[in-house]
Amino acid sequence: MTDNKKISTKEVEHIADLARIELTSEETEKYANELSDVLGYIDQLAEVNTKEVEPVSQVTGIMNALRDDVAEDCDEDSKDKIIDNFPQGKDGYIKVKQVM
Amino acid sequence: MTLNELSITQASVGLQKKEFSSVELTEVYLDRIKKTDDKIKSFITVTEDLALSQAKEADKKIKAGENNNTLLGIPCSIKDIINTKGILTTAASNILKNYIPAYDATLISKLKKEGMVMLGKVNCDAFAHGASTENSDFFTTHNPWDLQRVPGGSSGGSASSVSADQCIYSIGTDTGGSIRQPAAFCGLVGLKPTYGRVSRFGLISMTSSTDCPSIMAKNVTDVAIVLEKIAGIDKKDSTISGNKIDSYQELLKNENIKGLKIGIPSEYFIDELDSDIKKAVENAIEKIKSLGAEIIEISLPHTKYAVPTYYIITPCEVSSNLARFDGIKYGHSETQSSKLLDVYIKSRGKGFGSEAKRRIMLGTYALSSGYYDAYYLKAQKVRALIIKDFKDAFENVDLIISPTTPNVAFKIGEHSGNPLEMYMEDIFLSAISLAGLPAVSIPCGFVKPNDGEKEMPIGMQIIGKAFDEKTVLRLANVYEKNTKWHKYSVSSI
Repeated sequence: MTDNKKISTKEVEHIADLARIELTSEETEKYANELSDVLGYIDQLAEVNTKEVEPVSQVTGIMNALRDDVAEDCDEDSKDKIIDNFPQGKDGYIKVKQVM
Repeated sequence: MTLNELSITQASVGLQKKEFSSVELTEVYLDRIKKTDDKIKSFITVTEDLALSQAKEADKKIKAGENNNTLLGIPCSIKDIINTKGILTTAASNILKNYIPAYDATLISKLKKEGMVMLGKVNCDAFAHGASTENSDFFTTHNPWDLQRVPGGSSGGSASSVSADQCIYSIGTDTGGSIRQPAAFCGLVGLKPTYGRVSRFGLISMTSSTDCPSIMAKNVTDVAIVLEKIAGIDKKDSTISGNKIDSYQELLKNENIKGLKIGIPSEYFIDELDSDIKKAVENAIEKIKSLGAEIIEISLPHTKYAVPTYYIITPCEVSSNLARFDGIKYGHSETQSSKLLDVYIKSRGKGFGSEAKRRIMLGTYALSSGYYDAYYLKAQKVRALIIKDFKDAFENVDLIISPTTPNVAFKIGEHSGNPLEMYMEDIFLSAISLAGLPAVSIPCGFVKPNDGEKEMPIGMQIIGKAFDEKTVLRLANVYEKNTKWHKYSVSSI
């Protein structure tokens, strides 16, 4: 780490890169401070003994709720509304910029 | 009583008896919105034409006598994080400021079948990230009881619109307290159903493992009526439960709470709790005891870890859920960029507000290689312990009572510079969300804050076992029938 914070500005830049978010230099500085504070607060979880505890990701207990894999028709109106939301499109297709 | 102070039941009876029409009722509310919303700022979008056409349809059905649904022709507001086909749905965010959904959320489809009248879409913290509406990318909503204060959040516009008589009820969401806290701040009844009781399909997802469509109204009967209409199985939500939906309104006729066992967790009556609120909740518990319930002291030992657990699990799920906003299929897009990656990073950089970015980055960090075990996995394990706390407690009690919030509604700007202070708003609320339990906040008094002249409403939280909304609502209803707190309304705006 380049300073005493839990998260350095360099790490914030790396996280922002992973999260695909462009930050200004002020934002990078601000988030280094704020994320460090929040993580410092969260560190209290370390004191909880979780040795024999199974993690949970949901509370319903429902497993593999599946439906038949059948295509449903989309009405024209809904279709048009979806297409209208494209920031850039042509003939009902989404247009994207070059990848490389 | 004027038309815009009615409950659902009163309005419905008036409509069926033809004392007034749904169009007349709707016009009264639209007029009220016009007269008051420049001060309160509940609404992002007022759907006047839609409301009037829905009201006309409702009047036709009432006239033909073909339909006597309780919600038929009743005006409501909808939190702007719930998708409404053809109607602007922004999540109070810049990145979706022009987004018009192609489909309705399941709960909207259900309410349309009941003949609802939707007056408009109300403000919230952007993507429901917050406890005050100050994180809305558009504007802050004001508390009708004191315009200098926040209405709470994230469902702040739902609370302000109901308490300012701009609508009869509102649908919001509660992920970590977002319906209960604003209900307490605005003197309303706010019900978060059990996770899996109401379909999440069509909510703009925040924390998929705790998001709950929730209800805000002026009394317990009204939330019971709405719950019954929006609950139930949906093949578009794989986490929905097939558990029986009770006839909540019918069950409220049971006004006997003799022998009901109520747990009071010592961890919820801590130093951080305002002493006047503590006193008010203790008085409420005394009242409930005098009505025949048995009061039992209990312990929920992992309570203090709920907020830190919530603030790992939530950002992790947020970072995943908000990955879909990339400027390609819909939403704000920086189309002048020449490379695909630039479209992503610039659209997200400009489109997300500071709290959304903070949560996305915190979640990305906690899920990233090397930190996963220390943060996300750890939080999932502590969550298991929090769930177990409740499970153990409910071996001996039927319900649990706590204060809803440690303080009354704070002043606009008071916490906005400090994300951690804002997160602490959830100290009595997030454990219940992590455990997926049903809980209601109901009015239980007024407190005059040190920094203000006006008395502010406060709330008491009643927590139940999973899918036992009927017992939660029974106690809430009996308490309400024996007290007067819910009868106070905002005097002038």
